[in-house]
Amino acid sequence: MSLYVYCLGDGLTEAALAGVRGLNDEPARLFGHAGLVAVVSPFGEAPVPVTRAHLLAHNRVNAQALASATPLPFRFGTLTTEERLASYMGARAAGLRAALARVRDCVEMSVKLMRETTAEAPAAPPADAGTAPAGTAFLLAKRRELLGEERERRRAEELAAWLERRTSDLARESEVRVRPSESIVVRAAHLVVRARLADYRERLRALRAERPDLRFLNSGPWPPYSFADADVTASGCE
Amino acid sequence: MDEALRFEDEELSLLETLDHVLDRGLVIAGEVTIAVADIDLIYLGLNVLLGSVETVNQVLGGREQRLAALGVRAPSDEGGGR
Amino acid sequence: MAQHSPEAPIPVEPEIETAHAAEFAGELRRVADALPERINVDARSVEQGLAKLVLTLIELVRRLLEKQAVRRMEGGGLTPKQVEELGLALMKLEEKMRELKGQFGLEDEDLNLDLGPIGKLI
Repeated sequence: MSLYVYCLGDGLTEAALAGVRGLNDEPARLFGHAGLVAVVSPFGEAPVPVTRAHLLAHNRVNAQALASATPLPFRFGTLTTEERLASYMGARAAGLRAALARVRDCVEMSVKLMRETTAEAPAAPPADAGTAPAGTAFLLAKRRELLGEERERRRAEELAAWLERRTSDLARESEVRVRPSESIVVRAAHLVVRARLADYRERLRALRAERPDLRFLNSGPWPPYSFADADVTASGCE
Repeated sequence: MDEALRFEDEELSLLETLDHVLDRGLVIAGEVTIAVADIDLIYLGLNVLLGSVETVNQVLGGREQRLAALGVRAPSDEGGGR
Repeated sequence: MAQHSPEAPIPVEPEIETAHAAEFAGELRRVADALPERINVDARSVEQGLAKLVLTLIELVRRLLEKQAVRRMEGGGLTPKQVEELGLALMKLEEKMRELKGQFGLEDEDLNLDLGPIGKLI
């Protein structure tokens, strides 16, 4: 029998789940092994279609779990059997417990930054570009392009550093990805202690006001998707 | 106008969810347990998802054929598009 | 909502806050687009997937070569004739890649060239 797995924790209770419904309206329940608890529900055929209903159900169950104790969320679409799940939990127990300790009492908040589209005129070609032979002109143009890319990379990294500086006192941990060539130049995941969530939100309001040249997308709270993997894979047991 | 705004917000909500739940989180290693069926369904527009959803197995062919088969008229045709 | 109160847990669904929903939706849609599609076994999809992989690798090498060429030009270690030959060769390579990408109907976005932290090396 296939199980859809939502998340895993050590403090979850049936009462906390409060009969929440998961995918295909199946009730979520607990599956315990090795002192850990996974939240599962019965599911039929693989694969799991990525649909609005399924995504919302996945979120709903994880939000319910998150409300009582921070769990480690599974990726969307994780199907398994009781045997395989038990085997996984048994083999990884130490690493999973370490991962749970890492995220205890926290939620994940997400910040995405886009720059206001600047009307930056492309760098004017140098005076001698017209007279240079084709191959040389090509390389000169490439050089300008690369310098521009370098500038963009530096600015993106400065942005990430600024965000880090201004949130590090409120985030236990942060995971940041910088993509200079994309529109969303900085993507940050912050691990925020629940008790400081109001302060964190206040800080983000301040940051938004401070930088009208930036476009912010804030979302959360999420279960700690970005902070779930590292410790577990590092545990080495399989 | 109001409906268009709500549509955008809902789509953004789904996209942001996708961004979190698809390539992050725990993985039961060594198993092909993660089976993402068809992401096309998401960004073809909520038009598809809010209506009845064809199971993926019934939808054949390439992207254009799928669009035609589902009778999708992307809601942001005039505006954002893909 | 911010308080951690185990006595009365309130499910907290993630909320989104932005003043630029359309722009972000457009960007995230593009990223969702780049995610791997379902694994189809039919020949056309396999060929397309393979083409993406091969062209991505070639593109990465090509960009690396361009960077190195520019550095050498800046370093002053090349004669004007060498600079010209190097430039012409790279120009032809870029043109060839454009053709190949066109043949497979692939854009730069399809090739997933953004390497994140590794990108600094290229």
